[in-house]
Amino acid sequence: MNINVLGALASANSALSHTQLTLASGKKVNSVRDDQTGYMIARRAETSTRVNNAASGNDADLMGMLNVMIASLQDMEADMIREQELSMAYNAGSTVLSVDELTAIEIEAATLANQWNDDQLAIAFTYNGYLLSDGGMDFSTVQIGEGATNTAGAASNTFVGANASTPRVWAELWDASAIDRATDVSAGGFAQGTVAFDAGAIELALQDIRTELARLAGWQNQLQEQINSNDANASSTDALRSRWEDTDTAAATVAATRGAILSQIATAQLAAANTARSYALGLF
Amino acid sequence: MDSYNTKKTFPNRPARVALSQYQNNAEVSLSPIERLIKTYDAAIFNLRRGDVQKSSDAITELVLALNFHKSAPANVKEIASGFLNIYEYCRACVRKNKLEAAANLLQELRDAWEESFKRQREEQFQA
Repeated sequence: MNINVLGALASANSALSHTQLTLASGKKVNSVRDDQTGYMIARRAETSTRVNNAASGNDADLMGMLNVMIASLQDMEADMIREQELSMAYNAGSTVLSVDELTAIEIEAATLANQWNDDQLAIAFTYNGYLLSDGGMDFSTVQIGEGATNTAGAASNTFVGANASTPRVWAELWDASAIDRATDVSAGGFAQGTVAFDAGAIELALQDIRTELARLAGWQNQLQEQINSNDANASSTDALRSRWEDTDTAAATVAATRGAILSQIATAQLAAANTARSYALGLF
Repeated sequence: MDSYNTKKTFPNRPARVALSQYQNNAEVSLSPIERLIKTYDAAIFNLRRGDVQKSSDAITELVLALNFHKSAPANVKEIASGFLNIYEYCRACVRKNKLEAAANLLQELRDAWEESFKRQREEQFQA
């Protein structure tokens, strides 16, 4: 075998091993050496895709937490609406209802309020171990999009505003109604006149609760937009990475097969020229 | 009347018989790789000419030449699979009327066979 043939064979073997790696990995850029610019762009695009996906994960977590908060506050709203009904019944009936009947209304109102007592608020409303009712959640540092400064509290996001990224304290929301959350409603421990209904205060409390619900729902909308934006970014950067990096399978298969023909002629011949048929000339 | 019915008897006319015999002799005297290269040529020629039927027939010939026999070694079958994928891809190209794309792929393989064949001949002469 002369030196030229040996050189050609070595070159074919090297090309073959490269195309085999390309086909096995599905990537035409397997190392920086293959294509420096392509490698850099593909890596940057991949990082961007992953960061966007992680940010969408954060957003989805926040969405889940906001869902639980909204559901709980809707319960509080329903209870407050009932308090309003009881207040109206109590005030309208104060001259015609018996003491027992008025007491029953007060007991129902106090029992409802009791569901929002401090002990309940401290244990019943949690998400993934975090207490939702104490206003201690601060979303301002949660990264909701790509870029270190793209946090929920960043000026560029519409989450901003005084205390905008911190939920209200639920006890305060209820207490605006002036209905005590710690009244003893046990038999014998309750006297008529304990609950003082203040229709104006209850109205205010309802407004507060609804404002907080609207604020949480607004955050959800913003988060949904952020998720859409992150997902769009992730898929476009993934397409960019793919353009630089992924293999055109047909071309790579041809390159690999061509490599096999050049470096393993005997095997390739066994594989592809295994016939005694002689029809080729008839096809011209 | 029979003398006018030339179409029926055309395949048996002396010139046709002679051509057919020449083709048979020419092909029989070729080595397997040369026959394979001829088949590639037929496929590429017909693809570039836009003859879908004949190019498909030629690609079928290429497929039939593949070795998937159970006694064939694994590496032979592996390479045959690579060829089959390419031929199937070419067939798909033909169906989508991307004849030039299929022709280019086959041309690349044909040239590799030719180069390899020449190299093999060089080695034989030197031995």
